[in-house]
Amino acid sequence: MQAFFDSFAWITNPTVILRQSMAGIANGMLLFLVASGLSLIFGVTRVINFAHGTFFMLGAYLAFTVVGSSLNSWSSFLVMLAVATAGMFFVGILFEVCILRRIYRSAQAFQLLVTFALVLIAGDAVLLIWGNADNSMSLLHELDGFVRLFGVSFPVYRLFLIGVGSGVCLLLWLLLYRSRWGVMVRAATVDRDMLGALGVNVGRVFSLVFGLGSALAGLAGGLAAPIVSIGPGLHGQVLTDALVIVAIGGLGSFSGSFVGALLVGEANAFGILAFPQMAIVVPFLLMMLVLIARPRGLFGRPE
Amino acid sequence: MSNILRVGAIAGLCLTLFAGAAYCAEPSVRIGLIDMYSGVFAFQTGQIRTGFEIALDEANSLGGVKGQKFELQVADMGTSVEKAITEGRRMILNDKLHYVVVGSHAGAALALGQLIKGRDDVFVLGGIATSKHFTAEVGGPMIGRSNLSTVEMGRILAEHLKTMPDIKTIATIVPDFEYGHDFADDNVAAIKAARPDITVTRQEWPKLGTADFTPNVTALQSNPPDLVVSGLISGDIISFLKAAKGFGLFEGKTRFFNSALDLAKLSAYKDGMPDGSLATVWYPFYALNSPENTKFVDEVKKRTQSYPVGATLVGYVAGRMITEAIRKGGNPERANAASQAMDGLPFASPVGPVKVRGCDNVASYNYFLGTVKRSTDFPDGIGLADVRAYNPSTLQRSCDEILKLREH
Repeated sequence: MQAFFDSFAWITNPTVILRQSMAGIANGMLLFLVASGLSLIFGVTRVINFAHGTFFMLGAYLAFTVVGSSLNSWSSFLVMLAVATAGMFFVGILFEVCILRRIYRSAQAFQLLVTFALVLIAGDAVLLIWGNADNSMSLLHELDGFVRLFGVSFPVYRLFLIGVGSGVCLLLWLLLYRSRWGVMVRAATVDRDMLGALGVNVGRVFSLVFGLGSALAGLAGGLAAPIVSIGPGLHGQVLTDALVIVAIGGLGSFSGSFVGALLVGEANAFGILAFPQMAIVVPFLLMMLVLIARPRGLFGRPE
Repeated sequence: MSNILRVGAIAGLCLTLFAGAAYCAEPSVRIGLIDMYSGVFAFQTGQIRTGFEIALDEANSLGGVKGQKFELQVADMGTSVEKAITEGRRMILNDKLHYVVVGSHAGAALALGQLIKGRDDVFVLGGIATSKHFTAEVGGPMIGRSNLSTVEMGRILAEHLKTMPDIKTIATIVPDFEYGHDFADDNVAAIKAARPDITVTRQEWPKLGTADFTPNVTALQSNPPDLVVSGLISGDIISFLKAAKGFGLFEGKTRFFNSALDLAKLSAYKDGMPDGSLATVWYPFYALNSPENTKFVDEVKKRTQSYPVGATLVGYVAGRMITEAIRKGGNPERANAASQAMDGLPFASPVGPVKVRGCDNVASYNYFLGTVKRSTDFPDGIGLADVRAYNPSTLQRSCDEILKLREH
């Protein structure tokens, strides 16, 4: 019993709480970049893309291919992000046009199988192209190190990621809610047949949305490349977390992904702090509670 | 016409001689090697195979056994234990193999150990799989292991900590699967026995393949220990060290220890691994000076154009262990003869002499602990200094303990 209470000793320590909260935000913001793309794709195409984690991994590999293990200038950093994002945009569009477009009317289980097949094919392609070694990329010197925030050390790069995540969030919001294209995308999530009847090229909307969602995963992979191990197993955990976020936030909801990512980030952080041996289940417990209270997720809408 | 007849007659004679020679040639002794050659865990299986092939080639250059050559039969289990069982069954039942080695998957080794329970015509050897249960609870006369287990790993660190009185608190971080749990349990138990004054402040259990270790790092910072004892493997070490560096976990008093590192891969950890970190390794090839070591390193470089890693050494020991036992047993068709020959089997290796214990058929050879240092003396500018050898044979569980575990 004493051990149980000892595991909550941090409750009286505001520094620990603050540091863990910030770690949760940093963790959540990286996950948001991945989950937002997954949610966007599902919202429009109604396909749960199991290959989304693979796009994240491929983004990291593309970034590594561009700069190698040493990241030494802003220009190479930006080029690496551009290649990861654009590369996954085109891979996504190619996959949608060549494969997915043919199975939109098929059963969802079949769609899942097809995207899972891409996971397996891409996994072996990665082994073939990049080998099975785990690779590491250094941080850009200007973004290395840590700063003191409210008496707590916090990595500069994590702050940068929070900034980028927030910026991407704002841009996506503007794109979806303040542009003509966004109106079409939102219309496609409600009634794709009606949108087609109005003369909109729905196929192109679907392709671009899938490309944009994949590009977000690629961007996340590129941004994560300097802080993770770039190896053939990179996609698995990210996909699981992204699926939990999308379920919590509501399938297809953009704002749901943002809130869901922060909730999962904090659940991870405080789950690990309070229940280290059971931390794995905390995000899933959170998902279960949310789905019991709101079966469509926090921001999900009825079909 | 006569020319055609002559050519035909010669060709016929050649074919007859060739067929006769093939019929009369001794069949080879086939040894099965099941491992994860595809999928995300394929990072070390190629090296295990390289080491194993070197051992087989050496045995063949000595004449094999009773005129029969050793031949390797490889099967890919992907990441599936079920596939390993299928491949194991095929090797044993269809291909009539008497010797099967499971390269690196502890679960597959345990499953195949169960599969051959009660048989005396098949010997199963575990390669780099470090499960302590394989040669204890599951073990028997027809099961062996060519690597140390988490028990010895823990006891080696505990022994070393006797020389570090400044370490008063530790925290563990291990992947949340069987190996990680065994590693944490055995390290904590050994440390508590050797250094009762050391307190365990936290235990972290991240999922295997965690991309972002930030919450684990900040949790460790909530009560910074003197030493973080890590059983993380592969890319998880890189991701953890990067998160630790970002949050300055090792900027203060806290030091880092990682078990079972590969020196050839240290360059991948260079960004985050602090100088002064402790590490255990199977094979500090550049710190060893023996003809066996030089020969082995040269051979590995010739075959792979790369440095040997721990898995290459363990694969080599596995290959030597099984071929030496078969040779000593004298009858490759009788796996139980090879099993009996395991008792006290000695042979040389790049890391010094190897000796196999009879009660559980476990090979013991030097395992090393050192301090991470950046220097141009090392390949890739980073390596292990102050390397100290520990022989697991002095730290193993006793035969009585093993037999008791089998009774349960």
